[in-house]
Amino acid sequence: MADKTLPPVDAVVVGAGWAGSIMAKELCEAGLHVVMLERGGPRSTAVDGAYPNSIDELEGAVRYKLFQNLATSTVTVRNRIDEQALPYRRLAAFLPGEGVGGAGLHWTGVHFRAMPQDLRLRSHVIERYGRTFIPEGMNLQDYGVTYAELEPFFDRAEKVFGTSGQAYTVGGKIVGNGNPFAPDRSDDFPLPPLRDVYTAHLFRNAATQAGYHPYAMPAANASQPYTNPYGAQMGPCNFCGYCSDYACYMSAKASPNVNILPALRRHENFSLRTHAHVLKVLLDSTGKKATGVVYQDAQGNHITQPAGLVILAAFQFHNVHLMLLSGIGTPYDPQSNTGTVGRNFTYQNITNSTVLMPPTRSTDQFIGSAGGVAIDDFNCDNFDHGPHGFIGGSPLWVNQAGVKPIAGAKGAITTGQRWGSAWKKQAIDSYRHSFTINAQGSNMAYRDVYLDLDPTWKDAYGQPLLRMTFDWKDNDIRMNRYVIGQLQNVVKALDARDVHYGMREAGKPFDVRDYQTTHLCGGAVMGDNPKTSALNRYLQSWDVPNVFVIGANAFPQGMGYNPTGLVAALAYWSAHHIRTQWLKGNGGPLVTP
Amino acid sequence: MMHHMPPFTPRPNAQPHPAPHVPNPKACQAQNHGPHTAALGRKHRLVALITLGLISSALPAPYAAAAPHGAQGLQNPTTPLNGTLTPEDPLGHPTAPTPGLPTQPSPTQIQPKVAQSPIVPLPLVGPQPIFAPPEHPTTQAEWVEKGRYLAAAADCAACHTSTAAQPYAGNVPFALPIGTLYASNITPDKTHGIGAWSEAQFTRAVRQGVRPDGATLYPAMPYPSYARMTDTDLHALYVYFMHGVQPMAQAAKANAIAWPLSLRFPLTVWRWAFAPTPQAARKATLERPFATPQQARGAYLVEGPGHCGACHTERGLAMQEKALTAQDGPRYLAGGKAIDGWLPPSLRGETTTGLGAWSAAEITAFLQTGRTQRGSAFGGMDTAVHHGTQYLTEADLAAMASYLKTLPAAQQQAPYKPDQAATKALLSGGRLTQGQRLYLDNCAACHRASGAGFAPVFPPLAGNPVVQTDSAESVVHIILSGSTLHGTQQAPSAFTMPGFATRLTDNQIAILASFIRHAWGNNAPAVTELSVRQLRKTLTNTEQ
Repeated sequence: MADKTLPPVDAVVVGAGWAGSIMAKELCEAGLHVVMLERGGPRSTAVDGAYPNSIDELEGAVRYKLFQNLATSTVTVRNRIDEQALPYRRLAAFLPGEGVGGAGLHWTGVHFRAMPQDLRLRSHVIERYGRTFIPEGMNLQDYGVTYAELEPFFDRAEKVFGTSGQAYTVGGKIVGNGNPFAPDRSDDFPLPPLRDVYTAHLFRNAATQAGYHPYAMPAANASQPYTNPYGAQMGPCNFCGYCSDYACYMSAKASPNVNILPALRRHENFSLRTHAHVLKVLLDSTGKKATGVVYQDAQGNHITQPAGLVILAAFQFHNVHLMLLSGIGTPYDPQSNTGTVGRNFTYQNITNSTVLMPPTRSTDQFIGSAGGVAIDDFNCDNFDHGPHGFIGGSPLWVNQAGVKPIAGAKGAITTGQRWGSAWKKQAIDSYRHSFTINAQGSNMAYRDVYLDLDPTWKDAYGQPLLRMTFDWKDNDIRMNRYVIGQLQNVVKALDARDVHYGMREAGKPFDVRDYQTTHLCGGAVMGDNPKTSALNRYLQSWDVPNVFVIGANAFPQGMGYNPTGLVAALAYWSAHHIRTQWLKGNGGPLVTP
Repeated sequence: MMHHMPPFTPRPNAQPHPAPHVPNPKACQAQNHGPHTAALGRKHRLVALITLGLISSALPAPYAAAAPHGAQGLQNPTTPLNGTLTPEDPLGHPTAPTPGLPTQPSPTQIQPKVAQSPIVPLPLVGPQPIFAPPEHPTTQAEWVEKGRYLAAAADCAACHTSTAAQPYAGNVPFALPIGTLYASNITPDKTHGIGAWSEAQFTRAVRQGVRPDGATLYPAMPYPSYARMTDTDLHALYVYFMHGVQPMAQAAKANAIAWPLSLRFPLTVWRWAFAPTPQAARKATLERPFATPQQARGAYLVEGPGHCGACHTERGLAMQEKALTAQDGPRYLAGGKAIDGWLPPSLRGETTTGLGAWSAAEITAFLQTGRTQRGSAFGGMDTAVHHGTQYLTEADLAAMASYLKTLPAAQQQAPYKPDQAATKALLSGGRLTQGQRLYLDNCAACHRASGAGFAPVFPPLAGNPVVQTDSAESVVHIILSGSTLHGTQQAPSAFTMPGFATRLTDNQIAILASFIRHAWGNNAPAVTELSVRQLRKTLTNTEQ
């Protein structure tokens, strides 16, 4: 082992996922010499998505080929402050990615913007329902950036991702049967929506009959061959269903690998180093300026990479972890509700309901894509929360992403023993005729739900693990149960043989053994107030102004939508202000506290 | 210095939920509601649903009255505990109010008017424009740039660069029937490269195939084509190789050619017999009349530095190109014999196996990006685009295309006529032939049942000239080993077709290739198992 210090570069970007790739591309365009560090290995669609070997459920979704290796580093989890947290040693509830492309290689591709109300939820709730509507212990906050400000960057992300969707209004004019709750757009989606699969078609009809407003889910799965503004090309989605957990062999699912890296790698001022695990951001003696990062390479050497600008663009909780390990900002203290790093840690409140159709209806669950049909009637503040006394909501949707053989057998609806010919018969029946409706809801931030460094457990690098303290709270449980109640109106119109409503149960704690979503949020949130946010509205650290932290860590609370579209827009938003303001200034804060 | 996680030991206060090592399958069953393992409710759950529904429907108080409307004075409702029905609880109102409640705002009411951002984003940077070489260089730097451009036009790197880290340091192997040749180091290294050569020596080697020591180069070096290059272009090339290329001290590998073929003097005889003098060559190409200056420029690039005929013109018994210019007759660029298992197709006007159906714009795009609606570059042509043509200006590529379009068909062919029969059979779900089944299982995901592909990402097989050549090497080769289309300046995405050598037998590949060559209106001879076996063997030997 030989530790060494490399020549300085203009910017170091930690993480080669969506956020890192967008930031690196933008900074390279600005002429900066950029080094991107990825702790995993190199990945490409050509290798990891080589057909037909890539469509291997055992490798992809059971042995988790594209995911974080928990044997090296993981998190610890507990439900309550008075419990001892234990390491998350087996991937289940959430699946962070590893390797070039990050979670952007294994995601499904559901690509939403954000609702304007979600971006200023605290202000909106107070305006509509009054301050007392916010429950005790909820740290409800605004992002400090509005939808109108972000709109051009949502638009940009969709064009780069090759997103398929149906707009409702463009420039204030109704252009089609998109989501009527969705905010106005400056331009249409770059591609028309994916076609409804049969189950989505059933859901669309039933939701219409129930009086709701179904729409085609926006998906970063190209509905046609597409060339993005960087010149990167995508094939079209063929609905094979190998999106989530896999590299898409059709190059139809947007990923950093397909949509950005081909263009990024052509910049001579760009370099990417894999197997580079960043241990911490280095600060100067004042603690107010980052001087670079130190990482461990594949041989175990500790390499110091000096840089004038540090972009943390790892997965949500890795960004928070690195801030805590580096001493950037004040760690959050739940007792006093002070400090910002680790504060407002949230998740997504998803439950799944399963419908069994009559034997005459084949649901063809093997087909799949990131598309589908959703209703937003119970998302965000699209309905009057006054009578219900909770904050938040859920879209409801059929987002059939392809049920593969192993998952199909494991998830079969059966009674009695789970083996033998009777079970097989039921499993076949279930696979052929059932489908799932998801309620993917918001998750509010609470004073006693947070991230900090674990006092007991260390990772393979000798650093303390990140500790999650998380549980479901009354507000979110009631929100979920209310929305599932409304789902019954849709299901009634379905002519179903059987139905199981999945919903939160009061008193049933967060359980890491069940896959829920990988949409972890917060912990280093953006905002207008340095007392309640770690980052300003440009995702710049309030405390160390040459550190920008890009990712879902910036969300003050979890929303009903999938986070990637907002992460990408925030990355472009932040990059825009780094390029137009920060680089032209003295390297100081873009917002004066 | 490596620390490891302490071994897992249960702790007295540990709560049971996180990270269990061996989850109890029964407990999992009861809680498994994740999308990966969506489990339906068991009977007792349904009973509970119905029972609770009945109870709640008996509750008289209307739900709307249970909590005051509006924001003012609203208290946080109490927590719904287990088994407690609240108005919000779905179990409480199976006859839930239908949408359209007065309290529910209509979507349009909450629709903000127009999205207008005060911020105008910086323009996105698309593919960078290709550099334009200076037309009349004056400084050395300008000569270097012009020379760099000509080196791309002459595709020097395709043969003389084996790794990107050592440009022009040679040692690219050429497996020929007579043995293996290794390309020489043409960096300005004085010992191993050409750093000690004078410009006159350099020019003689490039145009006439004669080394400074008087020996004749193997005609793998396309000096019969380069002979046409102008003095100005040769000067630019010389300045570039002397001042624009890093010297690399890498010795050239000895050619593995057995005596007596290793003797150089027969090459001299060959040169006298087949290589034109520079004067004659330039007269043939540069002084020929053309309909347009664009065609004249195209002819110079194709017949001269581009040396397209080195692959695309058939060679005679002595390995000489049977034609060196369009003037030499219809064999020129009418398709060569396979090189490294890839068959260079005709670039003339044949309607099914040539470029008859391609527009000049499509040829231009193909040379620039390696991909069009009609097909993608692979094998040797990917190398030519990757190292060479992608760097040429659009004007030069258009000139090459316009010249190629002047070459009449060497043989008359019926135009490609699409035929739906194969598509219908593949989509029928009925009884399929083995070829159809193999195609569905291995190819159709990307190339589609219609054979139309999703160009330019996945090229069409239907009507694609390279699928229909008389000899099937290219089709068999790409099925066996796959191929990568590199990204280019204008189309940065690389696409890789995986190889199927480990998945399909020789017999299966023969059946599959025969199907592809005869489906959708394609009309090319069937492929034999023997030819697949031979090509597989050749490729395996080459790889070893």
